[in-house]
Amino acid sequence: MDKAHGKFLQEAAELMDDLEKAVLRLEQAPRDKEQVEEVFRVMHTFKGTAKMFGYDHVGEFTHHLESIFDDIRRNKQALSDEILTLALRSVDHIRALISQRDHVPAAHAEMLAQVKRLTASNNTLVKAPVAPTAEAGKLYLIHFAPHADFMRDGSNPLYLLEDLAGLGEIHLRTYTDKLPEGALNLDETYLYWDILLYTTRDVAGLRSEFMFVEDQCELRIDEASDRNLLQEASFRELLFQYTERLSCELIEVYVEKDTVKTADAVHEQRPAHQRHDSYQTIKVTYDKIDKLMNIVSELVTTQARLSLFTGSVRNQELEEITENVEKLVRQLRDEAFSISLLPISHLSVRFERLVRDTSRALSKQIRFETIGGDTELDKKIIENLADPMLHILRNSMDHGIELPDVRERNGKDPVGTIRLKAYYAGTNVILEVQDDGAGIDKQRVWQKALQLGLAHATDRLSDHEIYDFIFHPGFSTARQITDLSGRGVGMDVVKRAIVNLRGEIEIESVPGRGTTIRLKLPLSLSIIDGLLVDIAKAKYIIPLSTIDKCYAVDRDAVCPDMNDLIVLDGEQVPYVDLRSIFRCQGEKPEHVNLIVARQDERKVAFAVDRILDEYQAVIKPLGKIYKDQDFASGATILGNGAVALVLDTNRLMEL
Amino acid sequence: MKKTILTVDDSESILAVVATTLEEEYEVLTASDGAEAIQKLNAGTHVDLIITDLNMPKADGIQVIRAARALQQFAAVPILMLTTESQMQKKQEAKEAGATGWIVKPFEPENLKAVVKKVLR
Amino acid sequence: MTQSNGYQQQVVGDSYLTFMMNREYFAVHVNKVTELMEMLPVTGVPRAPEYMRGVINLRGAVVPVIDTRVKFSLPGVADTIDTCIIVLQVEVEQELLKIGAIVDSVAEVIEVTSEAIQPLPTMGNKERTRFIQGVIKLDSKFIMILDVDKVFSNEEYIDLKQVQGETIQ
Repeated sequence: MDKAHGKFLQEAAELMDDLEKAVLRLEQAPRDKEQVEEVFRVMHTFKGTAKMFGYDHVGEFTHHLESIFDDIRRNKQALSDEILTLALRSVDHIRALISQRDHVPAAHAEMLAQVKRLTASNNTLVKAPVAPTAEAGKLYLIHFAPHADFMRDGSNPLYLLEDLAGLGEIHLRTYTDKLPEGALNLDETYLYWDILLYTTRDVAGLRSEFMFVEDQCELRIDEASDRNLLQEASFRELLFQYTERLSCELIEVYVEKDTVKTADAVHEQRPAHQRHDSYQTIKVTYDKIDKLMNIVSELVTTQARLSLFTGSVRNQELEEITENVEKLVRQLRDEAFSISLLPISHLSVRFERLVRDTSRALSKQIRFETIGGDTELDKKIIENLADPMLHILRNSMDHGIELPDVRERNGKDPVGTIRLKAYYAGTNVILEVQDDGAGIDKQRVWQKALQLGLAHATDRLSDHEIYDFIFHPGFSTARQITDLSGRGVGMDVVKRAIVNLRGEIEIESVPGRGTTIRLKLPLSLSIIDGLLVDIAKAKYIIPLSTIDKCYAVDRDAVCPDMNDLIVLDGEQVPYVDLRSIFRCQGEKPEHVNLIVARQDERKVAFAVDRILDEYQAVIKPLGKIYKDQDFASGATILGNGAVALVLDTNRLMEL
Repeated sequence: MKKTILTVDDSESILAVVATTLEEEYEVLTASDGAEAIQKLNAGTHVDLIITDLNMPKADGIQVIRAARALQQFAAVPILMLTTESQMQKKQEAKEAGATGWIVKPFEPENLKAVVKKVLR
Repeated sequence: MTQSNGYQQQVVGDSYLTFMMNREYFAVHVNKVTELMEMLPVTGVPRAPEYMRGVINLRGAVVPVIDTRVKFSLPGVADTIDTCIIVLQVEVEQELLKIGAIVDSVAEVIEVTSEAIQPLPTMGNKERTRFIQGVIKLDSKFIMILDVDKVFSNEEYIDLKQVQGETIQ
C-alpha cells in the first residue's frame, strides 16, 4: 500500500500540473468545449483517486469544484473569470492539502465555501446560460486518419464519412500521400481526411460517431468557428489555394483577417506541436535515467582506460576494436544524454501562471509569449532555472512593463508583451526574456552605483558595464519598494544562480523600448570539456569554457614575493599560484603554465605545473561534506581510475 | 491455475492498489487506458475477469466493455466497472453495454476481494 | 535498493562490525556499513580539514574518506597492509551520504544482545561521550559503539583519550 501511496502522491502532483495547464488553456480558448471536458476529466480522475487514498476532504473539495465544471459542460452555467481564478487557486489549495495529509489548513473552510458558492445549483444569481441553442450550429475541424488495419474488422471509413455528411454541411479533404507506389493491399486503409463540418451536434455527439473505431484511428475534433464559413466565398477560395493540412490556426487567422492572404501567414507561423501520436512517448522515472547516466559515465571512464591500455600494447586488432568501442560509447553517451534533456516549455506553464496572476495584481495588461519552447536543457539546469527565471519575469512585470494608460500615452499598445525566447548557440542554450516596457534608466543606475561607492564619478563606463551594476548585491533602483521585486535582494541572487549553473547573464536595454535579459547556459552540467593539469603531482580539470589563453613561463615569473600581477601580451593580469593556495609542499618545476580564465571583464591567470591534455570530464558531485571547498565544483574519474577534482575558476578567483 | 484479471485504469495508483490487493490469488494484468485494454483484448489475451474504470482518456470504460462484448472470446467474461457514486447515467450506459456489476470508488481492499471472488465463483 | 535505518535496533541480537584503531576496539552497527574496501588511492582535496583525507573512486562514484586516526586525535601512522576503508551510510543534514572511514584493521562481526551493551554512565561529561552509543564488554575487552551519524557528520576533532576516560571506568 505504501508503494501505491507513493504513486498516488506523484500522480496527484502530475494531475495538478495537468489541471493547471488545462485551466490556463481554457482561459485562452474559453469556448473550447473539449478543453472544458479536459478540465472536468482531470478533476474527476483526481477525485476518485484522492478518496481511494483516504484524502476524503480533498475528494469532497474536488467534487464541488468538479460540479462547477460539470455545470459548464452541460451549459447550466457560463464560464467566468471568477471561476477560472478560483480553479487556479484551488489547484494551489489542493497541492497544499496533499502535502500535509494530517493537517487541514485554516483556509480550507473558506476555499470550500467559495467553491460551493459557485456551483450553479447553489447559486441562483448566476446569469442565464449563454449556451448555444440547439438551432445554432458550429463549424468543427475533424482530423480523421484510420489506421492501416481499420477495415479488418468490418469498419469502413466511407460509411462513417457518409454518416457525418448526414449531420450537416461538410467539406472533405482527402489525403493520398500514404498510398504506396506499387500494388495496393485491398485490406488496408491508406487514406486520411480533414473534415470541416457545420452541425448542431456538440463535440461529444460527434465523437460518439467514432465511438467504435476510436482505437483504430487518429482522431481529433476541434471547434473551429461559430460561423458557417463553408458558405463564405473567400473561405472556399482559401481552401482551394491552401494545399497543406487544415488547422484551427488557419481558420482563426482567417476569421481575424478575413482575407485570402491567410494561407501564407499561417504557413509561416504554424507550430510544430500538432502531432498527436499516443504511442510516440513513454514515461520513465528520472531515477532510471539517472542510473542509466551513471552507467554510461562509468562506461566512458572504462573506455578511457581501455584506450590507455591499448595505446601501450601496440596490437592492431585491439586498436581497431578499441576505436570501434570508442565510437559506440560516444554515440551511446550522446543518446543517453539527450534523454535527460527537458524542453524549456516544461517551465512555461509556471511562467504563464505567474504572468497571469502578477499582471492582475499590478493592474497591468501583459501578454506572455514563448518562442523556441522545444529547446532542450539538462533536467538539473531546468530545475535550478525556475527560481531565477521567475525573478527575472517578476522584475520585467514590475519595473519593465508600464501601466496601460502610461503605455497608451506613449503611443504603445496598452497590452505589454514579455517574450521568452530560447535557442541553441553551439554547445550553449540562450534564453532571452524580452519586455517591451520602459527600459532601464541608465542615469539612475549610474547615480545609485556612485551612491553605493561602486564607481567614481570620473569613470567612463560602457552601457554594458553600467547595467552590470544591477547584479551587485544590495542594488535596487525601484523608487518604491513593492511586494514583488523591489527588496534589493534580487538580481545578484539571480546572477549567482546562473553562474552556479556555469552560465552567464547580461542585460540590454533601450529606454522607452524595453529590456532584454540574456542567459547563456551550457547544455549539460554533467559533461564538460576541460584541460587536464598537474599541480604538485595531483591532477585537476579546468573547464575549457572559462579559459581565455594559456602561456608557458619561467617559474621565477610567478613568485609570491612580488606583487601578484604579471604582464602577458603587454597587459597586466593578476595571477593566482595554485600551488600556494592549495598549500602544496615541494619545489616548483622550472617552467610553469599560466592559464588565463575570464569571468565577464575580469581576467585572472592561474599558475599550474603543467598542462597535460584536453579531457572530456563526466562530473560527479563531491558531496556535502566538501561544501566549504566549493572551488572544486566536482570530481571526475580519469582513465586510470584515479579521481581528479574539477576546478571552478570563478570561485578560485575569490580565494 | 490462477485466474487472470485485466484491470484498466488511467490512475497508476489505483492500478497499484487493485494489483496488490488481488495479485496474491490471481494473475493481474494492467492497462493504463481504454485503448491499451482494447488492444490486449483484440490480441486475444486470456482473461477471466475485466475490471475497468469508466472515465479514461483515449477510449473510456464503456468502449472497453463494448469492445470486449464484441469479441466472442469475451462475450461471457464478467466485467466490473470502477465508478464514483455520482455517475448514475454512465452506470446505466455501462450496464446496457454489457457490464456485470460495479465497484464504487473509494473501496476497501477486502470488499474488492469479496466482490471479485463472488463474480468468479 | 535498501536503505537500512535504525528501526531494528531494538531486536535482540544485533550485529556489529568491530575494528581496531591504535590497538583499541570499536564497533559500528552493521546496518550502517555498506561495504569494506582494501585501501585505495586517495585524491586529496586542498584546503580541507586534515582528517578529510580526500576522495576515492568507488566503482565510478566519488566518495569522501575520513582519516579516522586524525579525527580521533590519535598519532598518525603509515598505511599498512591491514589498513581498510569501511564505507558507511551516514546521515548528514537529513541526507544519507556514503563516507569512507580509514581504520587500522577490521576485526570481525559480532552478535550482541541488548543486555550485553552497557549504557553510558549518566554522570560525567555528556559533551564528550555523545559520539558513543554504548560499550560492549566482551571477554576482558571494552568495545565502544560509535554513533556514526554524530562522529562523521561534523567537523570537530574528537579527543579519544578523554572519551575513554568518561565511558570506561
